[in-house]
Amino acid sequence: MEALLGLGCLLPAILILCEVYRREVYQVVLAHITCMEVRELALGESPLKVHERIREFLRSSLGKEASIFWEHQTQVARYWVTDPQILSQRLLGRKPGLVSERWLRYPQLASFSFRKGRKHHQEILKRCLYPLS
Amino acid sequence: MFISFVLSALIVLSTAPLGITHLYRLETDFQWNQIILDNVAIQLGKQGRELLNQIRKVEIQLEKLHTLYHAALACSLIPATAIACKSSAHNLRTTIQVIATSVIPSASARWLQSVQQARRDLNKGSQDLGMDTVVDFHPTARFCKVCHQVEGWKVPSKVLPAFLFSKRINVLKSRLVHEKQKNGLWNYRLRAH
Repeated sequence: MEALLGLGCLLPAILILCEVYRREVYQVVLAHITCMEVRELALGESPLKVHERIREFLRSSLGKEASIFWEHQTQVARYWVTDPQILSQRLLGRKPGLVSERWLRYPQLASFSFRKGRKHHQEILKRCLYPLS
Repeated sequence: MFISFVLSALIVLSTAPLGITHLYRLETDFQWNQIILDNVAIQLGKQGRELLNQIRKVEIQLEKLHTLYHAALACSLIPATAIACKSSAHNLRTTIQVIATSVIPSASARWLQSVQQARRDLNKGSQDLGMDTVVDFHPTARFCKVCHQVEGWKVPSKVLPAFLFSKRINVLKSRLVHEKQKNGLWNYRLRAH
């Protein structure tokens, strides 16, 4: 009985930990590719080459299948920001420059109830600015 | 069985945050080193560009002096103006030689200073950053075929101070390239790798 109770507590704890760990790893990878992309584009590298380099990085860090999944699940936006108000709103610093924004949505290991519904997915948004002044 | 399961779960629980912390530290180091490399390359690029543009200005000044020197040499052949023109030619030749001998050593010294500063800046990083290649700044003199005085300098692309920075983590590289523009002025480009 005790063992079952312990198992019942431990299993969800491990599951949550795995989910947290996975999210943290994804956050670091997403931040890395976002900053790498914006820097290379700001310095005049061709978008095709940058895309290829990101794909290579994802393949080496997450594996082939996960990299394919990432490519389909991430949404990318790039824009120039010169307005200091927008810069401070988006916590990008003070200097104007090129911004890259990546948004990833991936399924959780297990769903749980959250705000009158069930949560099945996690979302991560990363922004990176390469100042050009 | 249950105890071993609890123990393994505890090990996982205690090592996972360490792994995450290590990952974050690696990423922060990477971004920080990238900023240092980019800043150093930008500083060197600016200084290199200023140096080359300054040499171009001196070259223009030399061209003017050179024309005057040739005119003085020509007029020194005329008996009526020979004495005045000879002394003028002599003065001009001395000026040309002084400019020609002083510009490159001072430019090289300034370049060396900026390279040393760049090395100091690179060592401020959390990891040992180093320059892969450092090209000395030694442009060769270009001589006039008629009077054999210095009329400018050859700055071929190989002599240009193009630096390659690298870090031990394999993906991080910044490269600085100087390019000559159509108007004869120099500019720099920082390339991503």
